[in-house]
Amino acid sequence: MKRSTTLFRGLLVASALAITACGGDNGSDDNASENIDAHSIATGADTLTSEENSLSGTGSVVFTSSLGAVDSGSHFNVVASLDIGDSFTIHAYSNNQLENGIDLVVTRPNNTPTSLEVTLDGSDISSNFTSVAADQAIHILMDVHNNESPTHVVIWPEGTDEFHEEDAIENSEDSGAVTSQGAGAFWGITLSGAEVSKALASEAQFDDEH
Amino acid sequence: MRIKYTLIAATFVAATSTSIAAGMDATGLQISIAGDLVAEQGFTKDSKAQEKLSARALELMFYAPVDHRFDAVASATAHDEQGEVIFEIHEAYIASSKLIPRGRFRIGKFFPAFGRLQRFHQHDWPFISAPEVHTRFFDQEGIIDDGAELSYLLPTPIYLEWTGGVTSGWTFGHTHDEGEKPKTPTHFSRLASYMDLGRFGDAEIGLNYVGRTSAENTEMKIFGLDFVAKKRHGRTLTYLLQSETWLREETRENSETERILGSYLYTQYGFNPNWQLGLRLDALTVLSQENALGDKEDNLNFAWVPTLTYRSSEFALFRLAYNDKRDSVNSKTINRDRYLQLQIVFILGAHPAHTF
Repeated sequence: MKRSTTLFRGLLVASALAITACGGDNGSDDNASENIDAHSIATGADTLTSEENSLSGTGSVVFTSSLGAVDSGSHFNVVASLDIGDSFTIHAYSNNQLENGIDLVVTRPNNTPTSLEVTLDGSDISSNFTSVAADQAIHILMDVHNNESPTHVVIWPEGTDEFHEEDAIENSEDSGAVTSQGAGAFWGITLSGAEVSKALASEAQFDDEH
Repeated sequence: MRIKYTLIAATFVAATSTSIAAGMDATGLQISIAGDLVAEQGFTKDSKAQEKLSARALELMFYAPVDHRFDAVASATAHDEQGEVIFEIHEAYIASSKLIPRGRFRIGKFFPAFGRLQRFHQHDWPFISAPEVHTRFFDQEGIIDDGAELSYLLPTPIYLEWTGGVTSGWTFGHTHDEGEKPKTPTHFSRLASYMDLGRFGDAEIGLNYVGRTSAENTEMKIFGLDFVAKKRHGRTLTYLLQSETWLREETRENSETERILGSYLYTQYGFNPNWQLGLRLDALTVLSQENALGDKEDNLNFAWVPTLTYRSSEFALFRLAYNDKRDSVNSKTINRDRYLQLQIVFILGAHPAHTF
């Protein structure tokens, strides 16, 4: 047998062995509950209540697992309820102090309690949320693609399970709401009287390069 | 509307190609149309596979000598992106290998000549889709930019060719806008050597550097090693070994430097000129990845992609690939995607000769 044949067959065998060695399990984070990713309280240890499937009060949490690379995309599934005057902020791709990220702020204002005031990266996108009932659970299904410049944010309405751009209620590529990029690989939530019943991050649902 | 323009352009080229054939003989103008069709079928619940057949790209290419000193290339490609056909210029450059002794240059819009996959059109790759490291660093096909590039064969006893260039750098990677003027434009350098390995065939190895500082002050440095070895028996490419390894350091404003290391290795055996079977292994890790508590997160993005190719001729091929991709953090798989791909490539008209 020629030496070159042996060499290349060896490479194929080594490749197959590498594949076998890389077989992992489909495990989950043992520290995470079903609805809330593993987290630690960043601010408001005395005023924020962290239970197995809810966060409430005033303060902020940073989720323990990173979003992978700063230069990546993620999907956020957050459900929260607001009393009049309450608000919550999702910090995506921030540092572990929840700074320098892409912030989505949802407020139920005192003066217009039946509607929501929503800002994304500082831009007012409230007009996209007029159909969302302010006095009921608010579902945020949001892709944040921090591997684009500026960061591309897409938000879909409650109940969406097929994530396409055309079904979004907010697409920052069209609205121009986002003008910056997140500088970190972490995420967290700041609560101001809100109650959060779901806070999960996963891989981005929408791939706009296909 | 864009689809309509694309079809009109394709029809026009096809309809007029016969009539201009005589003219081509005189001017040396060569015209090529390359179609790249891809179908995907996912096997996991949340697979990202596009479960349909779509025209991934249709490329129209024109190339010819301009005069006794210069050559030129112009190509435009229609891409299918989420059902919308985007028609864009891929290449429009003038080049010469006659003005600088031992050197050649090109000016215009082109794929900057660093790495391996980056230097080839997607339909000329030995597999269907880019490895993760290429997608992350250079987009799904490659970097396209406007600028100037010089290649120079160094006067050394061994074959050494240096290629360097500067491009605008307003964008880098996938985008639908014109970007912004960068603080430092994209600049790149590749030092390549070609080796005769005797009965093992021939090989080329390249050392690469790519840098840029964006308008947002994100400083990017990419270092890479590319390698390709081939062994031919007559018209059969009996063995192909191709690999690229890249390390990227990226520092965003108000952020620490992120270091990502990625690589792929592709081995292919050719049974005859028509049939080839290959296997690609991809791996990528974020070296600097930590959790919010500051503990290291061991992470690996791994894929294995067996690929079977049938080449009817150099103008038509059918390719089947199985993709199994996994993301793991601290030895736990957090994402897995398995899907099958079918690719059909056809080329109408001429096709420029490839480099090694």
